[in-house]
Amino acid sequence: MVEVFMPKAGMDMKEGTLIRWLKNVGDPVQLDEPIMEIETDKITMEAEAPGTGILLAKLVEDGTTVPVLQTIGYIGKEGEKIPDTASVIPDTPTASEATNAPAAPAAPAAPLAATPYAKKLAQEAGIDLADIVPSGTAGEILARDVEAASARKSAKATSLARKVAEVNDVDLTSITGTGFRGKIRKDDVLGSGAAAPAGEPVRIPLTPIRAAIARNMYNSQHSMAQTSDSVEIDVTDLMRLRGSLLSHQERLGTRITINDLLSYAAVKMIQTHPLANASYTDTEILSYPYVNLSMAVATDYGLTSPVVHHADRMSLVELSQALRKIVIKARERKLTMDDQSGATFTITNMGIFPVDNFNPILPSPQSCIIGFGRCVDKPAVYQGEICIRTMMVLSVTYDHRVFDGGEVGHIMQTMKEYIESPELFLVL
Amino acid sequence: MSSTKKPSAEAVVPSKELMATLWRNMNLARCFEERVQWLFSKGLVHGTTHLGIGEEATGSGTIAALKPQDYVFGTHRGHGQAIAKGIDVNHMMAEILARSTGVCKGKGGSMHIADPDIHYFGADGILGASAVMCVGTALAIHKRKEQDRISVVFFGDGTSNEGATWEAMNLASIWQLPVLFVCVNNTYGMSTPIADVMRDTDISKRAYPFDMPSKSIDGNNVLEVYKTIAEARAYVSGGNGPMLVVENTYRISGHSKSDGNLYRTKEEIAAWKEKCPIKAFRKYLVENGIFTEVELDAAAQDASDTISAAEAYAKSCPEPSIDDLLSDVYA
Amino acid sequence: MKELTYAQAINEAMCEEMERDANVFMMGEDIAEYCGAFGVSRGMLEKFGKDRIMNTPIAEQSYVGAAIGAAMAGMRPIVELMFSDFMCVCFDELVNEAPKMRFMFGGKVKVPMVMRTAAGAGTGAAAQHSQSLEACLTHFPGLKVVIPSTPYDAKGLLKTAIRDDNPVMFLEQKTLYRTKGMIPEEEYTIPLGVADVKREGSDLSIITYGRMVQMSLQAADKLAEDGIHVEVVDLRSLLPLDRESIIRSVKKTHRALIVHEAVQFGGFGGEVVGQIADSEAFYYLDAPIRRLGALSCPIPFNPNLERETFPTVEKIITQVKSLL
Repeated sequence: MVEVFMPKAGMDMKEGTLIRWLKNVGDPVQLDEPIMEIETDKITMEAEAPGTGILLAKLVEDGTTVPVLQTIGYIGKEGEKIPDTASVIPDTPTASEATNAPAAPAAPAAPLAATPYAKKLAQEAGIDLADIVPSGTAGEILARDVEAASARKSAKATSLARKVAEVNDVDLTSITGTGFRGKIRKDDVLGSGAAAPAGEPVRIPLTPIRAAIARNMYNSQHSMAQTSDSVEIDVTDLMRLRGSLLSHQERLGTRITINDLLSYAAVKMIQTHPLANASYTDTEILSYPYVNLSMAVATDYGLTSPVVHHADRMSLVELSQALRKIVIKARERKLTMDDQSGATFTITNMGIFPVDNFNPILPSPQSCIIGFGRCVDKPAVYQGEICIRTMMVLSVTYDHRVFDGGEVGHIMQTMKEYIESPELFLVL
Repeated sequence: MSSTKKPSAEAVVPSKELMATLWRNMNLARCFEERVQWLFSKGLVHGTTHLGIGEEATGSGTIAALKPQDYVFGTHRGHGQAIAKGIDVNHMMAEILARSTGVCKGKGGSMHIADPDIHYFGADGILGASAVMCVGTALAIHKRKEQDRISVVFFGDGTSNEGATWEAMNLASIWQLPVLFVCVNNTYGMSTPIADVMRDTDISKRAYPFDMPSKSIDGNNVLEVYKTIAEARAYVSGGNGPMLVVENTYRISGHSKSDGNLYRTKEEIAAWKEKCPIKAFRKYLVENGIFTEVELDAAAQDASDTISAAEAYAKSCPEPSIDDLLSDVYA
Repeated sequence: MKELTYAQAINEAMCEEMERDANVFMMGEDIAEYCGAFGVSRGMLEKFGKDRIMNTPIAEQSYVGAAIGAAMAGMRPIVELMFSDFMCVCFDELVNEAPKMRFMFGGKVKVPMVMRTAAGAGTGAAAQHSQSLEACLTHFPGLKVVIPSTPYDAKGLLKTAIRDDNPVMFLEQKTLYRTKGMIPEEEYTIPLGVADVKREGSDLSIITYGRMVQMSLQAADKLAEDGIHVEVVDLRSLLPLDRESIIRSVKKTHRALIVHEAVQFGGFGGEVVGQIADSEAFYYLDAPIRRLGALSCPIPFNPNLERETFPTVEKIITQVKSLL
C-alpha cells in the first residue's frame, strides 16, 4: 500500500491545497498518472500518483489545505485494508466518471434525483450530477441547475473571484468579467453589489497566493533594512528609440516595449553596480555572477514574480522575448516552480497607472528593486530651455545592510544616464 | 292485418324458376350451416357462430321477394339471409374460417358477414342497432327520391324488445320511410322463451302504436313467406311507409355452439324437426308435380357440392396479413 | 374578415356545406323552428326546408342510428345531440356501430357522418347536462374527435369534418357559443389532427383544448406579467392526435401542464402525458408532467361549487408556477 501525500512542490512550500481529486475511490491508478490537482502559494499543478494500484481511500475533501507530506489517501490492491487510524471521507464521483464511465460500479451514497432534461444536459455538458446544487422543490436537480453549474464551469473567472462568489453566495453567471477575455475578477464580483447584504463586510477568503504574498511582504518589511529613493528622468529619447525599434518590429521578431528597454538598462546597470544584484546573509554578502531578472506581474489571481534567468546574457531582443513569454505564462497560470525561483534582482513597472513615485518592497533576500513610474509629458528644462519633455520617475528600494546611500546615488546616476541616452546601454 | 292501411292483396304467383331458386338457397343455407357446425366441432372455426338450422324459409323466402337494389340488414343468425342476398359462399366460408379472402377480409367473422357492394349491410352483433341504421338507409332512399327501392331489416323475437327497435319503428313511421321490418320469431331469445319476456307474444301487434300494417305468418312455409314479403315490398316501396312482417319459425340448432339445449325438451326439438321448412317445401314441390324427387335430390346434392367446394376454397386461402391489421379503420 | 360568434361560425360552416353538397342534411331534437337548444341552426330551416333540417323524436338511438345508416347509403348527415351527456343514450350507435362498420365489413363501406353536440359546464346545468365525455370517445378507433376553441377553428374544422368520410364527433363548447372571433370572408377549411399553437412561449407548455384554451390564454397573459412565458397548444382534434406538435412544444419548453375541463382522473390528459412520456420529449422534461382537470365528482349545481369543480385561471397559474 502506498500513501498519497501532499507533495512539497517548492523549497519554501509548507502547505498545499487539494483543489480536486481526479480519481474516485475504486479507480485504478498508475504510477505518475495525475491523481489530483493541488495549489501551492505560487502555482496550481497536477500531482502524480506515488504508486500503481486502486485508489483505496481519500482522507481529505476537495478544497482542503493540508501541510506538505501529510497523508491524504491510499493506493493499494483491491480490498486491501487501510490503517484504522485513517479517517476516510465519503467519495463523490468526479466529472470524468460521468462522461467516461456511466456504468461505474461505485454508486453515489444517495440517489440523486434529477429531471430527465437535467440528466440529458448534464451528460451533454460532462457535468457530474453530484457536482450540481439542486433547486427543485423536492430537492431534485433541474435543467437550470445544470445550466448554472455548466456556466460556473465554463464562466471564466479567477479562482479568487470564484471563492469570493462562493463565500458571498454570488452567482458568477450574473457577473460580467472585466479581466482578460472577459474573465471575471475578484473586483467584478465585489463590484457587482451582490456580494454581501447591506451593512455586512464582504468576506474575501485568502488564497494560498494571497497568503503567501502577505507573508512574504510582511517578512520582507520586518527582516531587512529597506529604504527608498527616487529620481525624475527624461525618457524623451527612450521613447523615440522605442518608436524607431517598433518600425523594425518584423525584422527584430519582437515588439520592443519601454519596459523591455528599461529592464535591459537595469541589467546593464548591474554590470557596473553588482551590489544591486546581491543578497545579505548574517555573515556575508553574496554578489551573484549572473542576473536572474524578476519582474512583478499583477495577475488576476495575485502578484507573481516570474524570473528571466541569465538576463545578463541576453540581447535586447532576447530579453524582450523572454519577458513576454513569462508574462503570458504568469497570466495563464502556467508558471512552474523554476519560473518563479532564483531571482537576484527585480523590476516593477507601475507605468500603466497614474503613479510617479512609489516605494516598492524588496523581495527577500534581494538587495535591490527598481520601480518605474508613468511616462508623462511635462515642462522641463532641456539644454537650457523650458520645453515639453517626456518624464518618468524611477524609484529604488534597497537593503541598507548591503550598500549605502552613496551607492544608490551611483546606481540612479547610471540608470539616468542610460535612460536619457539609450544608445549608451545599447552598445554596452 | 292489423292496420287501417293495408298492402294490396294482389296474388303473387311464384314461378318454377323462383321455386328452384328457393329450393337451392334453402339447401345451400342448410348445407352451409351443417358444414360450419362440423368444422366448428373439428376445431376449425375460431370464435363462435350462430346457426339458424330450421329457419331457412325465412331468409330464402324473404329475400327472394326483394329486389337486388334493396338494402338488407341481416341478423347474427344470418347465414341463410346472406346466401339468399347473393353473397358468394366461397368468400363467406373463407370469412368464417378467418381467411383474407373472406367477405370481410377475415376481420368480421360469422357475426358480421356483410357485403355493402350488393347492399347487404350484414349481421350486427348488437341487437336493435340494425333497425335504426336500416331507417337511415331508408332515409337516404327517401331523400334521393329513389323509386322501387326499400330497406329491410331482419331481427329476432328477442330484439323486438329492444328500445332501438321501437325507436326505429317510430322514426320510420313518422317519416313514412320505406322500411320493411322482418321479425324472425324462433320463440327463444337465446334460452329465454318469448312468453317469459313478452306479456303478449303476438309480435305483430307491436306495429299498432306506429300505425303501420303488420302480418304474422308461418315462417316455415317458404312460399307463404315469399308471397307475404312480395306484397309487403309492394306496399312499402309504394310510398306508404313501413311495415312489419313476423315470420314464425323455430331454431332447431342451439343458440350458439355452446348451447346445451337445457331450456327446451328433445320432444319439442323433434316435433319442429318434423316441421322442417325444407322437408315441407320438398313435399309441396313433389306433391304439386313441380319437381321430381330426383330433380330435388340432384339440386340438394349440387348445393352440398357447392359447399364442399367452398370449404376447400376457404381452406386453401391465406390468413390476413398482419400488415393489413390497421387498414380499413379509417376511410 | 367578419366577426362571428362560435355558434354563427358553426352555422355558417353547415350552411356552406349544405349548399355545396346536396347529400348533407341535419337531424336533431328541436333544431328546426327552435334552432336547437343553443340556437346554432338559426335560419337554416328557412334556408333549407324541413327535408334537410329535420326535427327528430327524443329518441337518440333512432336518429343517430339513422344517421349512420344514411351515411352508409351515401348521405352526409349531421346530427345534433342537444347535450353531449345524451351520447350515453346512443352510445351503442356511436361506439359499436359508426366506428366499426368499415373495418368489420372488410373496408367496403364508409360512414361519413358528423355528430355535433354541446359539451362542457359553466351554465349551471348540473350533473347530467355539463359533462365533458371526449376521453371515452377517443377510445374507439374509427371515430374522429374534434373540439374547437374559437369561432375560426369551429368553422374550418366543421367543414372538414362534414367532408370527412369517417364518423366525426364534433364536441362544441356550450360556454363558447357566444364568444366572438374573426372569420375570413373567403372559404377555408382546417385539417383534422393538426394542433394550433395559440400562444408561443418558452417556459412551459400548456396542452389543452376546448374551453380551457381561452382560460389558459388568460392565465398566460397574467403569467407574462411575472415574466413567465407559457406556450398554449390547442390540440383542436383529439383523434387523430397531433402528437408531433405536443412533442415539439415540450422539447422546447421542457415542462408540460395538460389542462382540460373533463374529470382529471381517467381523462384525456392521461393520454397526453403518456404520449409525452413515451417519446423523446421525455428526455427534455425538466419537471413532472402535470394534469389539471375537473375534480372527481358529479358536476354540482351551486355556481360556487361548480366553479370550484373545474380548472380556473387561478388554478392554472398556480400549477404553472409550481412547475417552474
